[in-house]
Amino acid sequence: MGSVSLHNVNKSFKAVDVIHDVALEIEDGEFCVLIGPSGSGKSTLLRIIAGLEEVSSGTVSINGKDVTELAPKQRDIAMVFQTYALYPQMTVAENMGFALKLAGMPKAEIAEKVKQTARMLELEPLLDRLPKALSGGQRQRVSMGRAIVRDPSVFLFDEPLSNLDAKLRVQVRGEIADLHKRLGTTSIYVTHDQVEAMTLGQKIVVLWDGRVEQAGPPLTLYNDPVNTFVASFLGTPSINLIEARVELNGGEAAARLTDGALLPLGAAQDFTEGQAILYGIRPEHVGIVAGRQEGGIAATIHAVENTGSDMVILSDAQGFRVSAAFKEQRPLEAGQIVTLIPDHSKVRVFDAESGKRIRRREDG
Amino acid sequence: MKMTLPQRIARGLVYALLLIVFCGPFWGILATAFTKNTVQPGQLVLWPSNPTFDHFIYAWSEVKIWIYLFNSLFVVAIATVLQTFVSALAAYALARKRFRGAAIVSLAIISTMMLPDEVIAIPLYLILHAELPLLHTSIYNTYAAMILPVVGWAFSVFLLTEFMKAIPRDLEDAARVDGANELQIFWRVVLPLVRPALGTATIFGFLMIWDQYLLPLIAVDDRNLYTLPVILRSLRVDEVLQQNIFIAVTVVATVPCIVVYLLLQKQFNRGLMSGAVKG
Repeated sequence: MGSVSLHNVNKSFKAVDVIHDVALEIEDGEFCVLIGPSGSGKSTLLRIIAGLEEVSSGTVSINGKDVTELAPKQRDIAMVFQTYALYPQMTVAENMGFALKLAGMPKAEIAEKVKQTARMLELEPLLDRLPKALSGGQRQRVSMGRAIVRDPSVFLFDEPLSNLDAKLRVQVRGEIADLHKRLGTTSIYVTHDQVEAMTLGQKIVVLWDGRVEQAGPPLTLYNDPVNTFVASFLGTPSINLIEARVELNGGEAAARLTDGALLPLGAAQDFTEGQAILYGIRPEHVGIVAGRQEGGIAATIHAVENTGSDMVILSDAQGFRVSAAFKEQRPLEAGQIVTLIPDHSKVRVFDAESGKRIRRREDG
Repeated sequence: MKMTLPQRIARGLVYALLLIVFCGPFWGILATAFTKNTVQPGQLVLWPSNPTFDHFIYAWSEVKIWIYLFNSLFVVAIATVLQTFVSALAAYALARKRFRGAAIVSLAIISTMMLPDEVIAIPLYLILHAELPLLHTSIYNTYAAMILPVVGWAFSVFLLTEFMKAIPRDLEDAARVDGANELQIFWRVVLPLVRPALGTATIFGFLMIWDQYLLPLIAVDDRNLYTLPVILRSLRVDEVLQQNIFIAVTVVATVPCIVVYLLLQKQFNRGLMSGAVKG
């Protein structure tokens, strides 16, 4: 097992800077997920940790040892690729034992280790098959087996579920979580899928444009985002971010929305009069009542999305759109006039210009 | 769509015509080589009258065709192995390694395909005669003079480069993470994946070297080092030699090509097809 530390890591491809001053600590045995949109640098960062890309500056340490200049094979890591990267000319057993063979392990020992790992992943009946004779899910399991058999300090996963269909993705996701629980090996997992990040990660690192926007436990990031990017990147449907201006009245502050609605914000000390803000509220924290009512946002339902387990209401207010989500079924339909009532204790306020969070006293 | 009877007959006729066009000349020399009766230069028979092996026996014992057959086989075997190996290494570097001037190197290699053998004959002759440093001798009049000039072949490099470009980079990265060094990646991961292309390159290389006429002509002047194409030319102008014997030698010269093609046919077809799909 091993910890991973990145210190001021920078990476440029010719004149283009793709990683900016990334500093990160991943604890021994932790499951860390790197998440971000395409081009955010998450895969590059993973490849830097693997030793497949050189850093332009900064250091990478595994288990306290500086590995920045070391080749991948000297880093005691194993990697699972998005494309599986199984050697097509080798059988499943040969694929899994390739690294051990290169390390000069005796044949009998390789066979034993491969068998043991195959048993763990239920791959035993497939050991003599070539990768082309396997399904997508089986290939991904072989790819994981190839990593596990080496018993490395750190597992690196590069979007391992992207090529699987939705159902299989859920299944393999569960298998990865189980394996981590069983083996307890430090794992770094790259994905752009926030559900994978939230369900697998003990720590999530949100990357954008090669920078770490926020790192921490999944629920901390979800409930306590530091900026609008993190707030809107995590959560489906996405958080409502409504333009507003602060109005102070005695000791209380309120947000005046563009449609004229006035919604309470909390203590006046946290705001200035006329301040431009983004009023953030997650859809599941928006209540809904039929007809017009004071203290809420008047809106007309634009669409109702019902998945059976969840119900999402998309509604048009004057000049902006608000979504609300419920676990229970409600008799609502498109065209209906409603009032949306945000749960004020769950509101997250952001500076309209910088996108940074404005912390209210009651946010804690 | 099911074909009508006239369509099937028409198709059969086209196939028969193609068969005659392609196989007719070969059948002609085969039949002539086995014909006891003497034929005139330029004349072929369609059916061997009084079939006999005499011409082959004469070619073997009197013309000593085995010397030239050995020379050809020796040169082609060594040169083909070296050519395929060198081409694979060059292709790996061009397809997978980033280095300054890669595009120029690639262009320079491909541009050699545009030079006809006749153009480089004189410079090559001079190089083959040049004294080598340290050894103080030239390779002229040795097997090396017929082998070394064909070890680097642009077509083979080009073919393998295109195949290697199609191999996913993740495979090499996976091998690197698994602990393989560059040579192990090349040998254990990349080469097995381009086997169909290697088969194709080997066959084309074999045929190209087997057919070499100008190179052995300028590389050696010792008759005992002559290869089959050179001796064929020499026998062709030999007015004393019977035409049937000359044709028997021609048949012997053709056999290795057919054997190699039959042995590597599967690889060859797969290689050509894969190339077509990968564009």
